Amino acid sequence: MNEWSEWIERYVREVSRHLPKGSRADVAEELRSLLAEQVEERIAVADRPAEEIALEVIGGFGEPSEVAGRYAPDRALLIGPRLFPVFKIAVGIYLGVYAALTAAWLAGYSMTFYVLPLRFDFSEGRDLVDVSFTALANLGFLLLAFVLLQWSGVGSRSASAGWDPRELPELPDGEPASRVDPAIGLAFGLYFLLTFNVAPEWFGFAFGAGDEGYVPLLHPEYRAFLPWLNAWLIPGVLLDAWVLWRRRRRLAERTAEIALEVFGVYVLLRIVAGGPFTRFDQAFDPVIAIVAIVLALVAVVHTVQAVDRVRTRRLMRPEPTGT
Amino acid sequence: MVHGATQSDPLTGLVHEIRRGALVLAVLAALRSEEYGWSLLKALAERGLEIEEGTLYPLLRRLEAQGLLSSRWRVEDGRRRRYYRVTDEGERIRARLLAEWRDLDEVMEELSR
Repeated sequence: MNEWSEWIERYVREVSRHLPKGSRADVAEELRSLLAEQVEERIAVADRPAEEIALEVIGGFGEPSEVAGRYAPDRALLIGPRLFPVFKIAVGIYLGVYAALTAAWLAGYSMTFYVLPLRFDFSEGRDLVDVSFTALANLGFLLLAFVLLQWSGVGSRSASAGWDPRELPELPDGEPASRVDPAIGLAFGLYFLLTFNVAPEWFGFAFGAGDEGYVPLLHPEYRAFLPWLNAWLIPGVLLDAWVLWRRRRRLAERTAEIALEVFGVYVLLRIVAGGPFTRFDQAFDPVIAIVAIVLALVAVVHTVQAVDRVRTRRLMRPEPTGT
Repeated sequence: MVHGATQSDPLTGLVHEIRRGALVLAVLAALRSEEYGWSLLKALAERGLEIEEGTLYPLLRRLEAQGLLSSRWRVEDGRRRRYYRVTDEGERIRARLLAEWRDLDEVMEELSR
């Protein structure tokens, strides 16, 4: 990617960010092609630096959120394209804080405070339905605040205000990551961490009604392997959370994932060779061994794919189409 | 192009309002054959109607969403382009809009005497 095509890519990415997901890829491809053709035509006849011409074309196109707004059908919006990203961040922060406070309340901590007009009432005597309805009411107030900001013109840019294409954010490194895989990895990682460290009795078999029919799976001496399991699971959880948050995988994340896969195989082999881990080692050792072999094969495949990507530079920034 | 106006002149804004109202008809009228965004922009400019790219390209998409245009990707000169053409419904609307425009033109002619 040369310097001027990178500016086009930055612009297309910024416009796309404000577009509905359904049309995003298609509009982005069309914009990329149109802008590239315009810039190339001007480069052919002008005796000026290509980067300068590209910035001129992009600048004349319009501020990204405004351009994205013109792709929307003619309808009134409660919150316009300029304020909507801020609204999403505000909702994310609010939900994160509310979830943390709810978890503390479930653990036995009571509190009540106000960040007007938002109410955080986690007093004794309330139930989960009350707490949930308060969460929704607060979200309504948050929405109303942003609607008022939009109507007051805070979210609008005046026609005379210019924008500087040089302020376009840089292209992120790496390739987009699905949210599903890291989310599943994070959920299972946290579950196993909690189970192994706090509640090993969660693993078990129920043969009948009541406690007498329940047999825990883990052997009391499984704790000898706890440091190894934690050394494998904790980095895995942190890495999944990081990829889930960034929604991108660079070479560093790929390398870390492969290293953890290989380390996981090593930990499983240690468990198989060391023992006892379960109360039914004779039955489960082959299962653990098979899992270790499968993970080893997956790690080999991922390593080969990662090396191939590095060799073909697929982890670098994408090339624009039509150039 | 706005005749006799400076940047801050209220005339500029009013002329833009008139032109903005004529944009849809201009696009439908100019699309006598299949065109892509950049070629259409140049064709309109050659005929005296300057439109910003950031206005025309989204307009083409919106007209397509309304069923007045249809589009397809084509590869030409090693470049992938989205070409637009007027649909049957678009042609019907174009004819109606042209008739409305001619009526309006007669009215303005009468009013300006």
